[in-house]
Amino acid sequence: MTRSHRALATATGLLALTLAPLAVSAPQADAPTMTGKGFTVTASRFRALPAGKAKGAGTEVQAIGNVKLVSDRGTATAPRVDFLLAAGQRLDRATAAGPVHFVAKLAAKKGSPNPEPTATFSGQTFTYTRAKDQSVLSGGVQVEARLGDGSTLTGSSDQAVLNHATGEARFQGHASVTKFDATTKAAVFTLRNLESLTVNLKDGTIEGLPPSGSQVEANVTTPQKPKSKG
Amino acid sequence: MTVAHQVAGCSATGSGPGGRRHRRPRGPKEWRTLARAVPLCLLPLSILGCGGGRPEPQGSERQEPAGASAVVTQKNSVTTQYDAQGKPLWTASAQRLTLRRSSKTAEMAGATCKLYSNGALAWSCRAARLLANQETQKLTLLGGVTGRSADGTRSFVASSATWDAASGQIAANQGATFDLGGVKLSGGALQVNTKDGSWSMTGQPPAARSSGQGGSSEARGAGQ
Repeated sequence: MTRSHRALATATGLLALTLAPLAVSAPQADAPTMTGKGFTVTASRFRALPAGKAKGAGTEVQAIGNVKLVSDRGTATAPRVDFLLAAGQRLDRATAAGPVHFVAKLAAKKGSPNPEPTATFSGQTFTYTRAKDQSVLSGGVQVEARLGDGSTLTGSSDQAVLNHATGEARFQGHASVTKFDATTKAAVFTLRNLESLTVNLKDGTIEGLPPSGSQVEANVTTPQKPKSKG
Repeated sequence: MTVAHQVAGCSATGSGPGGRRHRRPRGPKEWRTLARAVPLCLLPLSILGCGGGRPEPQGSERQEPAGASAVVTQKNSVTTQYDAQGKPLWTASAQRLTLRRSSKTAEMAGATCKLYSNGALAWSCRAARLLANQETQKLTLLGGVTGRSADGTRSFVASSATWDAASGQIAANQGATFDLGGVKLSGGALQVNTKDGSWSMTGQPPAARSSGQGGSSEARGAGQ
């Protein structure tokens, strides 16, 4: 074996080792897929209960195992998601259990520094309701968001309610958030242990606080309501 | 009860399309083969045990020598199997039917079948080939299989499928497509129950996957 052969073999081995983890985490090419108006779901298994055991109107479908729901409202992953499909086969409701991750897709106003704000939520349960156009996460909710004003935000709460139309995320129960400046990346302020806190992910404003970018007070750590900040 | 007896128990008539209608069975698990093709003649008594006076097949039917290996072929047939209460389990019309006496099986080419649940039509299916086993009450559909529920809300496409009359379970192969009237499921093995309306679609079992990700236990438990 020549030196070039050995080099090639080594490079190939390294490449294989590098790609091996990717192969493990790659989406299942053979996973069943459910496709409807404005949404796609992949899971290890789908099933529908016998007709007599369905709870309400519409078609109830359970997705089990590595469930990934992709819709125009975002992407949710969970071990199990129950769907209610309405007449016309739109997704009326999705309820996820287990560790849930939800990446919300939002649209900022024109001219915003970040035209496509995103927010990554994690929690124990997740419910999307089309009638209200909102997603509710609960159970040790964590959030990381890139807001419409270019800043970033991290936070936690017992529950988070995201209104997809307005972009408002309401954090309830032991809500704490820290906002970071768009350019300096430094913490602009921290609000901790609030009963309720509402952040508009589209424009980066926080209810009761001046618009993002204007530093209010760095590292506010005492429990207090945001309105007292105004 | 042999296949030949089943055939003998059937009413072989030149009924045309009207031959699809059901007739009262003469005994449990009875098959009826109703030839739609024009004039059918009597099948020889030595093989079929039919009463005399019936028309014999003219070109559309052929049978091999009597005995355990006797085979009867028939064109444009309609076959029905009934349950013990006399309710139809399934009805199949085919361009060509081959009855194998020894194995109590029937093989049909260009088949359209109707699957019943408690005597009521539940699903209709088509396939290039259909294998029916009288004893096990199972149908195997092969080649370009399509199915549609009686209410028209569900349909599937698969390359092969089986139906168990006892459990009412349709099991379609991996890669089946299931349509819920706008919402489509694809890429897995499909199971639909013609009795209670439940269904499931499952990915390949973990042993067949290279990724080895979770959800394997659910995949194994698909057969409900």
